[in-house]
Amino acid sequence: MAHVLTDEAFALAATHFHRVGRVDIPGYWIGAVLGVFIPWNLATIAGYQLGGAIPDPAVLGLDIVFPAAMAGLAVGLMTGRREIVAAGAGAAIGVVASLLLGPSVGIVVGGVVGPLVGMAMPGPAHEAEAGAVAHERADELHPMSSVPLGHVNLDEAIDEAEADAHLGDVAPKPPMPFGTFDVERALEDSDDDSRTEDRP
Amino acid sequence: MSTDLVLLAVLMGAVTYPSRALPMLAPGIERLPPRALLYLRLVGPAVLASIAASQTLVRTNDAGVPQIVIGPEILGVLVCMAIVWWRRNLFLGLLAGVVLVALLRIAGIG
Repeated sequence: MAHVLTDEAFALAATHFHRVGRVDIPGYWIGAVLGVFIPWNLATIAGYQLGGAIPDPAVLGLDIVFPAAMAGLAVGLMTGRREIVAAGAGAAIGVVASLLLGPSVGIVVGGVVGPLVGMAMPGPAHEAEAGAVAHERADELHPMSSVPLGHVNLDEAIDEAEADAHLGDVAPKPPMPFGTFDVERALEDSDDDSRTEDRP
Repeated sequence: MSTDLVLLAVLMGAVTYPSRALPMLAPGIERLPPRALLYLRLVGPAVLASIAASQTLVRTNDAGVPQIVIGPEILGVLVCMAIVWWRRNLFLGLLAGVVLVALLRIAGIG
């Protein structure tokens, strides 16, 4: 999977994974590889062969395609307040660090320090409320379970429920053929027999 | 066609691809502490914005000194961002940004 992980494929895949909430390998291959990697290389070959026909690409504004694409992909990842702050801080710090240390180092500094600024921002209100409620009820026992509420992994529970539902769709329970041993009925019969035997 | 840069491309891939693939594919990555996961989530927008801003605003002059450059490129990038935000369409945003910058340069601005 990593052999074809260009910057753009990474950004598209990260956005897609964030949106669906899990790693989606088929989605990665379809979207990022077919949509980015193959056209990218075909366009590179075309540009190498035909680029000489364009005397000055800057006149056509083609020199802004790369930074504009990066900015557009960043916009796609801005799904909340923290992401926006991290992007803004990354841009500002990146420019200042580029002036002081050179562009190659400055970009890395912006990418490393920007997220720290974003983390300093408070999260969305509903996240804070949910976190407070979860914290208050962390040691409370669920009436049907001995596991404290704070120790229940909701994501895992949801994944398991979805997997169960999916399994049920793929492999529906076949009708019981004639002559198949009915375990539940056998158990009931066994209970009845044992009660009968216990009687004086 | 020259093949001098093929070895360099292979070496660059060997260095950069693992660093990009590991956060996405490392087993158990989702079990990291929440603050580490939050940091990783914010690296994407921060590093892309850092690349875009540095490429747009900083140029190295003939003496090798980086300096701020203000030109029509900023407008092109901002227009691209606005359209991507509005329409959720990167191609449309790129097209609008490129056309705007081309028109400004034809008009002698920048």
